[in-house]
Amino acid sequence: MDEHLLTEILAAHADRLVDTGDLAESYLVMFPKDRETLAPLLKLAADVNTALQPVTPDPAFRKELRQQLVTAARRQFALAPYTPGPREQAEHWVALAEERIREVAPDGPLSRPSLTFAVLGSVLSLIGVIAFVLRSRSLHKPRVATG
Amino acid sequence: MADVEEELIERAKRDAAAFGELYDRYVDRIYSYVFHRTGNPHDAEDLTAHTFYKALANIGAYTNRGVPFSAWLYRIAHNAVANWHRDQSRRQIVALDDGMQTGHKAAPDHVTAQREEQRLLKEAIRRLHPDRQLLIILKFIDGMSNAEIAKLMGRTEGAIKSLYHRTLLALREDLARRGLVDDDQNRHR
Repeated sequence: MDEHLLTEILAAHADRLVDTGDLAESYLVMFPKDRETLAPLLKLAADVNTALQPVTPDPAFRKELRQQLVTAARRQFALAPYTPGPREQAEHWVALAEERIREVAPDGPLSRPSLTFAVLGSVLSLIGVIAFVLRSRSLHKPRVATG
Repeated sequence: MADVEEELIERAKRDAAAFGELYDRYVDRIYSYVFHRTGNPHDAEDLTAHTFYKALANIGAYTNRGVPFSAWLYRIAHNAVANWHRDQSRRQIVALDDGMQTGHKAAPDHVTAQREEQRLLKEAIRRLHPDRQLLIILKFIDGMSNAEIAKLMGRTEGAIKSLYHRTLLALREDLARRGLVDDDQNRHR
């Protein structure tokens, strides 16, 4: 049997197992020549599905862990309030810029990617200027003669 | 739905009650996954707690990159279980298997045989590569589609189907090696 077809049949069978039940026999009827290859794998899949049943935690454990986590979360947020990372900050600035542009020019041609690049370009320029200033300062720093 | 969850995650970065809501949403799934990977409720509880404490410690750094939040949680649980296996590797692990072996009245022979088959199959599942275990747990316990699993595991849908196929073959080979199924099928492949 073609490997790709077998993969597709197994995947479809597994999906049905979860949704509607074991339709192994239907697949075996559709592919009678491949019964020998298919049947054991379909049976194994059904056995795995039967063996793997969802289990739920003990309600007492569930409740206690929740209380502990919420207490820990309160402590954590009080000690170190959340501050957005650089990526989130950048997204925030892009969103603000988008909002402003929509106000100024509702039918403007600027798309989100071009805005992102514009903001990114501005940030890179700023970094370049800062780097230039820092480098200039270090080059012109008076040197103290040693020895 | 995704937007609601995204908003909840953002709130959970600064609000303990929102983190509690996230916990409510995922604790059963994470526990179930860890239980099937470890085979005993005691370690499943420890590792579930570890997973959520780690999630709490790192939630501020979580950013949505188009992958479901559950993927992030499963990844933490997956790593926790991997470390647990490493720590346990020198010890013989005796799984309680859903508590079915203890405290139960004597069952009819066919039921006992069926339970024994299931126990052996679960053991064989636990011997699979961790990614393969994750795949079948997501498929059969969480009832996730191939597309959802693909997103969660960072693979294509085709790769997930193929991984599922290889997983069944590996499982069958393992069972055949132990004389638990007829290995004619493996010769036919």
